Amino acid sequence: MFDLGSGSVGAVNIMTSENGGLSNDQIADMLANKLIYISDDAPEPIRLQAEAFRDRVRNLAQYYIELARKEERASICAKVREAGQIELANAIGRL
Amino acid sequence: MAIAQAMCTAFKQELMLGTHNFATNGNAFKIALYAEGSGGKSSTTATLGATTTAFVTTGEVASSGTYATGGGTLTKVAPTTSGTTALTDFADISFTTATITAMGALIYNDTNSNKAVAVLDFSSNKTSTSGTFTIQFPTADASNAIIRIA
Repeated sequence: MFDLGSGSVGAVNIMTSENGGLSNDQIADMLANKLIYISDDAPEPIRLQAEAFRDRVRNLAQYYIELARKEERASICAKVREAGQIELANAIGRL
Repeated sequence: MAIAQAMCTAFKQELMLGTHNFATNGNAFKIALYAEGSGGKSSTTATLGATTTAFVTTGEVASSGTYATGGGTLTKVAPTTSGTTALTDFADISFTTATITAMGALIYNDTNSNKAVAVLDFSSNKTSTSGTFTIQFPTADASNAIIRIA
């Protein structure tokens, strides 16, 4: 018998939220997980270094995701205020 | 186990028959979510695994938010190779403003008679409440990609 290999299915990651969208932290985690995979059987010094790098990437991503959302809210606020919906604009600004 | 992660056996055969085309301009693939116990549309638990041959409605979660029964259409990433492994990938998919509890999912070929591709086991119930339910596919490499043939 010739065994030419096998087919495999990868493990998905599920992220859920309540009463709103995903948080900045969740999105940053998703980005870091997708960008940097660290094998469980990597030698410990390499694994630790890789984990430290992944943490830095994750924290940087988290910062810029937060900034992007804040800036988008500011743009939405300005448009809503221009349309005369001052209270709604203020509510969006407080998010 | 009612939902067991597997590449469906029928899918392996159908690959040899040229039934599935994962090219970006190929077949349309969907992902449907399933509950165990009473979380689905009916109280019947989904039974999914290697022997699953096609999409089934039993145990599928109900429509909620942007999730409609039958599941969401996946955005394909063209198949490629890494070393001696062939692999394909999908873009992450999110269902928003949805109240969903799911234990697993089925990827199936919406173009070709809803033929099953793979069963995904989430290990535990995952719940969104008036929120977002996101499925993030693994890194598309030889060790992790969602569908790999080594």
